[in-house]
Amino acid sequence: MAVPISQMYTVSQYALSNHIRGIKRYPLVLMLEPLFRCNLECAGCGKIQYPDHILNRRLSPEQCWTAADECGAPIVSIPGGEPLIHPEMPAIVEGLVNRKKYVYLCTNAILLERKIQDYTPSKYLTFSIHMDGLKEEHDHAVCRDGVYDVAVKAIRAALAKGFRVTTNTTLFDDAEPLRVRRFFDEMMELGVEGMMISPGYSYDKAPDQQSFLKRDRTRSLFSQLLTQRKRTWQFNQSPLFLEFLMGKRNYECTPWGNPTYNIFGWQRPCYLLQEGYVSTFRELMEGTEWERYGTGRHDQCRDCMVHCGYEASAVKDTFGSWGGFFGTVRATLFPNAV
Amino acid sequence: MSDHETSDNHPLSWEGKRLLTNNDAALRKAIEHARDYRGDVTIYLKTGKHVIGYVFDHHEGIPNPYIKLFLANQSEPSFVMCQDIAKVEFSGEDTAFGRSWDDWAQKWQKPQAS
Repeated sequence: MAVPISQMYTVSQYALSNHIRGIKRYPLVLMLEPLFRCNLECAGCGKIQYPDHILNRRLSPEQCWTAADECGAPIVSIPGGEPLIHPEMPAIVEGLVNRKKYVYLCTNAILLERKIQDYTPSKYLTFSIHMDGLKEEHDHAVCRDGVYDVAVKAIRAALAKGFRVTTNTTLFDDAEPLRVRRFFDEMMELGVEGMMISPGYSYDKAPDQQSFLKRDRTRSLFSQLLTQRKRTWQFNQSPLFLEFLMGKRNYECTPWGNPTYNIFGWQRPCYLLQEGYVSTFRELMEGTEWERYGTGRHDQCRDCMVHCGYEASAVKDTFGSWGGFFGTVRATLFPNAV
Repeated sequence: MSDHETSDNHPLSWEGKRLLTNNDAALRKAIEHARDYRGDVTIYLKTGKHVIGYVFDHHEGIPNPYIKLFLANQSEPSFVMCQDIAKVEFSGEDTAFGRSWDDWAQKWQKPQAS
């Protein structure tokens, strides 16, 4: 079981209570971006291309906690930028953990060994390490040689100190299924709790525009990756989302499932598109024309199958229908069933 | 620095370009390009003054549309009413431009070769 029972229980209780109360739109994961500054410049990233005075801005701990309170999602994912650059990140994390939020601190791990003593192991805190494949693929994706080795060393150090550690992997058009499967083996052998995988999104500001996956290619790739999967592989995400990536299920996007808060405010409509900002979470939920977004409705959503839009759809399916619930049970217990 | 009366001629990068806002459509397009631009812009006002900053939001569909921007030396965002804008100049570096995949691949390969 990749996700601890207590976390599954919290998310289940949260989703069910929203479902029972008839709340149609509710957030599942707050995407909290306290800064855009990063110590890498990955080719597939469209998040960090800003003037210096923007890259130097930081959300304060109070702003982060207020956003988490406003949003109410049980999970807070902290991407960026590189969160470990933020001098107040330990305080931000501590405040979120005190609020019993399950925090996924997404890091490239370059600074992790140096900063790890600033954090306390907790069931609420997971270091989610950016790993885009085996050494050759990862160093290529992050455009710097040696980062894979640094990350592996940091993963070992974090595990040795008792932290929860997962990996997050973005797969592009050049992914070779056999090598990715070998990568899954390597990560599980390292001892990580689970892995998160997602197809890349074609940010129009990202340098590499040729390597993003189209929908058919995404389904084909993930089918090759996840068919006949090994029992040792654990994925820290919804099994129905994995089936969606394999083309076994069809979902509509749930853009409000992973609302994004950063130095500009609450981002409309989702983590990937920047169509404007509002000051409050309520304005985001009530004032966004959600029906404009999703595959077939918005040009920039055309090929998107990314977790921040579709994992919430899968989770809603689990708790919103018996078919989804039993599908989740089946996909969890028998992932290789046809 | 070159002037574009409208934004119909879409260059690869707006860096160094100026957009005049002599009608509503031109104003709207200039603002949208400024909002999409990953660099600082200079907003010339009808009063003759100007501000330089990073435009990140455009509130329209309201009686008095406005843009929000961060000025380099201020922690809080500034607001400029759209009706006050005379010209938009893409004066700062376009941080998203000029980083082709080939450039990245070359950069990555260099340490391998040495």
